[in-house]
Amino acid sequence: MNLGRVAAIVGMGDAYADEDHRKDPLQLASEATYAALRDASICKSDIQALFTGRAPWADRRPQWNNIFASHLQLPVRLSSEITMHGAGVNAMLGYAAQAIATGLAEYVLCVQSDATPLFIDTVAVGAATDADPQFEYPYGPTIPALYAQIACRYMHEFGVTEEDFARVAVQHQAWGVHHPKAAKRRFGPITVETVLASPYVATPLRRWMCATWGPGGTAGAFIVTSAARAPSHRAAVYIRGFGSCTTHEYLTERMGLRQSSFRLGALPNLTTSGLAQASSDAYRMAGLTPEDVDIVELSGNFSHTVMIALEDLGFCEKGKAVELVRSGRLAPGGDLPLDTNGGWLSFGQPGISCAVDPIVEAVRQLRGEALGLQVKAPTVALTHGAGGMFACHSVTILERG
Amino acid sequence: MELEPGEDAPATNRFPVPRRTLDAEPYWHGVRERRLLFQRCQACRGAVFPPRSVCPLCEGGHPLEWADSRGRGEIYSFSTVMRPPAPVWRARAPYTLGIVHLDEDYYMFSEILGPPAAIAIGRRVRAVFPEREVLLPAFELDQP
Repeated sequence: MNLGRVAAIVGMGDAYADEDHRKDPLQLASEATYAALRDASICKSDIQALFTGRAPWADRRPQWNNIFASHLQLPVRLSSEITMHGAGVNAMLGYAAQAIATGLAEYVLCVQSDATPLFIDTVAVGAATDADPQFEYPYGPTIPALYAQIACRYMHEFGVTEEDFARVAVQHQAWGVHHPKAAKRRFGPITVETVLASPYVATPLRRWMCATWGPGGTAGAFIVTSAARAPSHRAAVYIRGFGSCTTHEYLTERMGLRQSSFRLGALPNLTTSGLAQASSDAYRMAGLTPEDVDIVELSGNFSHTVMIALEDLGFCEKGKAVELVRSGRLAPGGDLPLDTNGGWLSFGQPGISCAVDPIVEAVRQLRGEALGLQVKAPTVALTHGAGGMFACHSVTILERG
Repeated sequence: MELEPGEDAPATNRFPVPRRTLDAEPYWHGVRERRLLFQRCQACRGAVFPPRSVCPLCEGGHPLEWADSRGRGEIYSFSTVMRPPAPVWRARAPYTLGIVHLDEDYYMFSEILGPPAAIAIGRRVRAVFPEREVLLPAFELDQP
């Protein structure tokens, strides 16, 4: 069975919160879910399976999938948190497709929300959960300082410069200024000089090269059903391919990884991610190649991880993303629109739902319903979820019906 | 629903102590004696770090044995922290954290002591044990 032809998203709902409109993760997820149900023209009782990603930062109760199903008073026969850090949020669409393919459900709800900046001291959280509590955290790392280890190697191995990292941020902001919910919209367009004038958070990463917190909260909900049922719904978006790969938990463990049959480059390294394997699997399932992709919606938390992701997704060779960035193809008006809502760098990172925002943006773009800049009639969208210390990756390729 | 910072919020008034695993007890015993220990597989002889109970390098699930590292290696990557994670770190910032490739062919995350401008990939370093609130191995630059 080709899992790339069995399922489609037939309903999508999104929800947003900010300081003036405070909503917690249960409220955001409820709002998005009912919007998705209305969009699909189905009832809550039509749902037989429910997937979420990991518990929102702003409501860190484990088994959040069950908490939310209970909150909706929605008995389901199949339910789980899909937890590969944030990548699981992207992967839940693939799990939904499998539930459809096996006949376990006719309609599956996939939903994720978070509102970290509204409820959590975002300075106090951080590396505590992402650094090894024994061999890394006692040295005082921040998440940027851990990701900077990758950036430092990437510059060293491929001759990439801070100016190149700055260009990535400038291009993301060029999209973000058009999105009404983008956290950095208020700063307006920026230049390479703006980025290079911002202070170092952890060398070589400056503030504009790092994902920002906010917007205050987001949610995305998707109703997935069979390809056979999809045409009876409005504006179906087909799940054509998916793949995921996780390689480590802590950065030091990644350096200990010396062999794998997966496409991870010459081990050990920090500059080829599990995304290379995940995307390869997704393309094969979809019967598509990078040349077929019209828009790309990444989980890009730093300038350099955006560049590495572009390479691992096959849009250029390893070490050559710098040319793609310099070409302007990724910016508004280019032929490979990237992170069209501004991405994590400009739209922002509201918590775990940062991995659902790229899917919301992809579905809106494919349907011609973008809240920000609309790309002209895209057919194929590639969405990426990432989590941990560049540890877990998921790719879902979507196609307009 | 106003949530308090959860269990992940680090203590802001003291330096964090390592959360030790049973596998790593010999490592921490070595640190107390100012020795840097690592593991080798009894079968494939590969160097293993962080510590564990079974060799992850070869397929046989072979046991590991402890060995002393010379504490010499070179910088694989690094970053100087300009915005520290909690108030307790502010007096120490900026400080440089990096990955060191030990001569025995394993990698450690650690602090690299010395002026940030002098720290570079490929520079030779050696292990030291600075007297601080929490005893941890660090690395200093070899003299040029």
